[in-house]
Order: sequence, then C-alpha cells, then structure tokens
Amino acid sequence: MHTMWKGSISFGLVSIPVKMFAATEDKDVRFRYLHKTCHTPVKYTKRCPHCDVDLTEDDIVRGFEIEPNRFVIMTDEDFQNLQPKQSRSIEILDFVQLSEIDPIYFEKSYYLSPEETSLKAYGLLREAMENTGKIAIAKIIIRSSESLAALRVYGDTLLLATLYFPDEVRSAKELPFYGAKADVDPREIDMATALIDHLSAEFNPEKYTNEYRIALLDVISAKAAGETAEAPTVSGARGGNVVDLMRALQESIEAAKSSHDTDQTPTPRKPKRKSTRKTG
Amino acid sequence: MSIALWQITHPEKLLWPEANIRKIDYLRYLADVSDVMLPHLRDRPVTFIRYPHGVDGPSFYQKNVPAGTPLSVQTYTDHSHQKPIEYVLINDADTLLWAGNQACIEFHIWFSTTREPEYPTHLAFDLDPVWGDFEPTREVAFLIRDTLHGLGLPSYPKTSGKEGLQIYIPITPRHHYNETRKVMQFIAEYVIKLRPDLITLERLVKDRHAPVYVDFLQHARNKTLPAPYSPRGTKLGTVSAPLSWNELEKGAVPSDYTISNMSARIKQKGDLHADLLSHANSLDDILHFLH
Repeated sequence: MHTMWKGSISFGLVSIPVKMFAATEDKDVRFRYLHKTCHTPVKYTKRCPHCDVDLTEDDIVRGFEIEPNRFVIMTDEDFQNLQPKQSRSIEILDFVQLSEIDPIYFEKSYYLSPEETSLKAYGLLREAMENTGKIAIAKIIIRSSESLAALRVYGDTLLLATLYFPDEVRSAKELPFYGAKADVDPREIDMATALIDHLSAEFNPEKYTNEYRIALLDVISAKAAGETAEAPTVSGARGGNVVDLMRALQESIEAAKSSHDTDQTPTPRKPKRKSTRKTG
Repeated sequence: MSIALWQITHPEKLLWPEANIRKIDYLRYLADVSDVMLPHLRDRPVTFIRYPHGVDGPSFYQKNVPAGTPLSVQTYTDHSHQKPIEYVLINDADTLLWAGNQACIEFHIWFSTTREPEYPTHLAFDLDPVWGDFEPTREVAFLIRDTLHGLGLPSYPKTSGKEGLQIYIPITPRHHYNETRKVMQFIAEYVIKLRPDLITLERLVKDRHAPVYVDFLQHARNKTLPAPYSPRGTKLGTVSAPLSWNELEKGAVPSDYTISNMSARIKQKGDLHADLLSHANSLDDILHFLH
C-alpha cells in the first residue's frame, strides 16, 4: 500500500510516529473522453476568454469571488501563513463511545501503522483503547486542511476515520414533508414489523455486490473481445462453390430420404452421398 | 403451491408509460404466459435486462444472481470463464414473477441447457433489418426456411420483439457448438451467395451494405437470444412472439405482438413453438458431408 501521510499521534505528553494508508478504495469504472470521429483522447486547454490566449500553470492564480466578478486574490504565501503549526500530528482531544457518533459524520477511513521506533507506544495505545472500548476524537491536518477525525481500534490496527464538522452536515428539516405524520393502522405496523423480523440477518458485507459495475465490466470485456475477434470469413475458402455444395448436399439428403422411404433401410445412404459429392 | 418469499413492490409503477402498462399488468402478463413460456426457459441460464424505472429510464444487463434473491430461486454457476457467473434459472412461475417484480423486462437465454452446456438444443439465425422496413427481412426468412427445408430441417420463426426475426431449428443436443457453428456458417454463406443484394453478414455496422443482417456468429455457450414471449424494452411493450410461417406469409410484422394482446393470442393458438421442445433433428448427415 502507498503511504499517504506521515506524522504522529499526540496523546498527552506522548507522541507516537505513524504512517497513514487509505483503508478503502473507489471501484468506479472510469472512462476517458475521446473525439467521436478519430477516438483520440480529448485534451483540455485553459484559456482566458478576455485576452484570448491559452494559459500555463504560471499564468494562473486563485481568487475568491466575494461578489459577482469581484475577486480577492490569494497567493501561495497567504496559504503558507495559514498552515497550522503542528501540521504533522493527530491530536487527540477526547475519548468517547463509538455509538455516540451518528454514521452521517463519517467521511473516509485510513489505517495507521506504527513506525519501527513506535511499536511499543502504538501497541500500548491500541490495547488501552480496546480495554476501555472507547474511541478518540482527534484533529488532523491532511493536505493543508484541518479535519476532525475518530481514532479507533480495527482488528489489530488503529483506524482513523475523518469526520464532517457539524456545519458540513445539512439539516434534514429542509426536506419536503419533513416529519409529516403518516396515518397508519396498527395492523399495518405489525405486518411491516413481522416482515422486518422475517428479513433480519447478520450483516455480511460479502453478500452485497455492485451489480451495475459487474454488468458494465461485462459489457466492456465483451466489446473488447469483439474488437479483437476475427472478422467472419464470408468469402472464405469455399467461396464460389458454396452454391454447388449446398445443391449437392440437398440432393444427397433428398435421395437418402426417398431411398429410406422405399427400402425401409438406411444402408444405401452412404454410397449415394459419395457419388453426389463429386459434383461439389 | 409454494410459499411466496417475496412481495410485489410498487405494483402501480408504470413500466411502459407510453403503452400505459403498470408493473402489476406486467406481472399478470407473465402469469398468463407462464404455461407456454416456462418450458422454453427450463434449465437455461438467463441474462436479464432490467429497467428499474421503466423502459424510459436506464437499463442494465444482469447475469449474476442479485443480492437478496429468495433461496427458492434455482441458480447455475458457470465456470467456463475466468470469473464464475452464477446465473438464475427460471424453472417455475414463482421465479418468473419474482424476476418480473425486479423489473427484469428482457429474458435472454442460452441455446443450450445446464445439462449439456456445450451442446445446443437448436440452431438460430438472427435476422436484423439494417435499414428500411420489415419486407426484406421477411424475404430472407423464407429463403432460409426453404434452404433448411431442402436439408430436411423444419424451422420455426419468431419475432425478436424489436425489429427483427429469428429462425429456430431444433436439433438433438449431440453436436458441439464448434460443429453447429459450421452448419450455420455454411447456410449463411449459401444464402448470401444467392441474394447478396439483400443480405450482409458483416459484424461491423459500418460495413453493412445490404438491408438485412444475418447473424450466425452469436451461436456459442454464454451467447443468448431473447426467450419466446420475453417482452422487450420498447416504448410499445412489444414481445418476442413465436409465429407460424403462414402468419409470416400473410404479412405479420414484429410490432403486431405486445404484452396487451399476447394472452388472448395464446389462448387461441397455444404455443406455436411447442414443436421446438419435442422434435429434434440430427445434423449427422450435414456434418458428415461438410467434413
């Protein structure tokens, strides 16, 4: 796996060096955009419509639109000055119960592995967290932005899940018919409850597959096979005499049928066929 | 009598909005045709085309049995590819209706059964109009019928449910696909020699320069054609309808047969492809000759 971040967990006075790895991966099937007529991958150019010129990286700065068409320009220096001081640490703030965090807050998961120098401290923290059954809420800086995260024990390793900040979670109250009371019969609730009981199972993620993705890859591989498949040999070796050959075959089958009808025995079929075949 | 392990969901959902066919109407259709349709589906792995939001919405192919499938549904795991595929088998009405409830609109089935997956039970020519109306396709169909007749092989036409026509020839499942393909190729090469003005065998659409494409290549394990009575994801709810040659002579066209009128037709005429299930022909003589 590819290390995506190096830093340390800071916990009281202790600092535990760790490496971070993405724990999940996106299996989306990706497509490239091609020019329809020649199938060349499309190239994107950045262009200034005002000056009517193509731009390079150096020609571009970042601006924040404070009102339509009025921008505040942010320089690299501005961003650097903002960089939080302890940009390489996972700072534990509190310990809480996992069940206290609604799943809506979870964003993305990362594995944390110890460095050779931190095996003991890492093991200690992991074990203590396992014993208490608690998880840690921490602040972490990933790619120059600050994130809230939950640090917990996952099997034999520590796992860090980034969390949304509360102001990033939208309120459900904006939904149409939010909290509307449904007029339901108690018997209907009983029936629905019985159905849920009937369908209750242990969560077994292996059971669920991305059908759309599988179907999509099937189509792609079928097309790929088709592209490389040999074209049918229509005017192949038999070429011009296929018509004669068919006539000969039809005659031999007709002859076999009539001889079968008269003789009641299939034996004369073979010589018949051989004699007609010469014409083919 | 089986205990239903699933329930009908969204019975009022319009699967064919233009034809005003709701899911419950579709399930009624499947129940009506199940007697004649099931024998054709028996023990044949099915590829579904699902339209979760009706035929105007997106669709996708489904080969693998979906998650949450009731245990009563029979499956068959095919190991002929690198990645095994667990196909659904539709061997009873309950499974057929369950699939319908999943918005499986099209049922595409193998030419062989799970008993002898490498040995097809029929040959099938797939005729597709490249341009123009149905008339050239009709003409090519009669040419293929007569050619087959000359070889002592009876054949049975059926609409594709879209624009085309398929011709089925029941055979004894003793000839490997590698052999049956030779027979199909021979016949295809013959008919194109007779009518190059009408027929193209070109796989690539851009290379087709005649009004009727005759597909004889899609004849292999894991390849499929729509099952008899399978609806298609068309605006009008057309279905793949078994025909008699007589009906085809009198001008039958694929758009004549829909979910709305098939039940009455079956009540009157029964299964016009019933012979496909009970009669089989040996290809021994033809193969012997070709070798």
